[in-house]
Amino acid sequence: MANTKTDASRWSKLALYGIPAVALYAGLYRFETLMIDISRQGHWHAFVPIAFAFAVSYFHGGFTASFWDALGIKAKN
Amino acid sequence: MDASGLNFIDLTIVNIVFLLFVGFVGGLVSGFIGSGGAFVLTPAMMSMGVPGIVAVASNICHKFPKALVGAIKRAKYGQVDLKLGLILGGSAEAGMLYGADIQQSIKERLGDAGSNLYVSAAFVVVLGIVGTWVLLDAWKLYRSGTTQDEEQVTRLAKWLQKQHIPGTMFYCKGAKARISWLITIPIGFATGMLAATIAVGGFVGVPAMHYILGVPSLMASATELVIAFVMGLGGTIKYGWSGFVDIRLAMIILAGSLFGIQLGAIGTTYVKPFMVKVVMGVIMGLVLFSRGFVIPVYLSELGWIAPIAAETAQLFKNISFGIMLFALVSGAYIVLHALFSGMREHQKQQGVLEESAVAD
Repeated sequence: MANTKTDASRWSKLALYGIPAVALYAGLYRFETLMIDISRQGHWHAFVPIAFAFAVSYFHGGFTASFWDALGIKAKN
Repeated sequence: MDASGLNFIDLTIVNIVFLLFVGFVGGLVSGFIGSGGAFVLTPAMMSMGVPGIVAVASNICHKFPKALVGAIKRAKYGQVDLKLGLILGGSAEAGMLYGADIQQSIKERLGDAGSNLYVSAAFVVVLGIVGTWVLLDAWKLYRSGTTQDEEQVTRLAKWLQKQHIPGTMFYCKGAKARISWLITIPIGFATGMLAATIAVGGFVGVPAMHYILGVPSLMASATELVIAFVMGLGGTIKYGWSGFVDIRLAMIILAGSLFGIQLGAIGTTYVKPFMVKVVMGVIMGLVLFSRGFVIPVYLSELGWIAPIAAETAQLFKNISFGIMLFALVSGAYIVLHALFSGMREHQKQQGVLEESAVAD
């Protein structure tokens, strides 16, 4: 029972971070030209790709941590 | 200079898979030794047709979010000295800007060949000295059979920790001593300069924190991630302001590297501290060898030695890039091997403990 609960929490964590991470990458693919145009303008527009990178680091970072955890690869206590 | 005259390349599936792979391997090494991987990414992107400055900018843009994730992860294991990282990060930022200026002026005076020669010479000199030192130290530890013991603080670090400069002292958690931030300035500055020159400041930052400040090597490698974050963010703003960041390239590399950095960070909890020195020393040695191959090519392009045939020059460049990739893969192999054998060992110990608990 405890294991089922732990498994469920692992999967929900994966989904919680994974879905927004996939959405961010899908958005980048869909609006590729727009993102390139914004980046190339430079100056204050530079903060758009920087903000995007922060968002990816949060969601994809959380996803990758949960991913290895779900595979049983955890740090030694 | 702005990005209006530069082409952002069309990405093919082969390019994407290659960047994901190099990103993953680079992340794995970074998670473990605090830096690495970046030296392969810039030439790798350039070989795809990405203009040099866009490759540098996109590389640096993937670096700061990667370092952020790695630093947070290793802070959870209690390995990060945040205060030291931020203090060193400040002077590293200045070193990076100065290093970039030097690069720029060499490029203006001697062109691409001069700039490449400067980078390769920096690789050879720095890696030759620091890499040999680190590898010899790891070998000495291994031979003495003291790898299980706590790391020794060097005489230089002990002496520096005794120096008291009023108004500049702060408590360094890593060294478990009060240190003057004046001592940290040259270390941070050199780290930043090296990052601007060869893209891997950690090859100086980590050994300097360990041998000069007396920070344990695992903690030094984790704290390097804080410095990399500070420098990476500053560098991204600098290049992004002129419009050089190709966010697609940066995010593809980041996608792979975040898988790697988590694994590398987990690996540090299973290994003996001297393994950081082994991985760093092996990578440094191989990269040094790789750069040594292209120095004659650049000398010949500058007309400082007899000309080398175009085919031979290309062959040398290909061999050099191949060895660089091999260096990164070798580092990753050692990290993975150390991680999985450490995990097996740990599981065995847990099994024995459980069995004895049942028997009792």
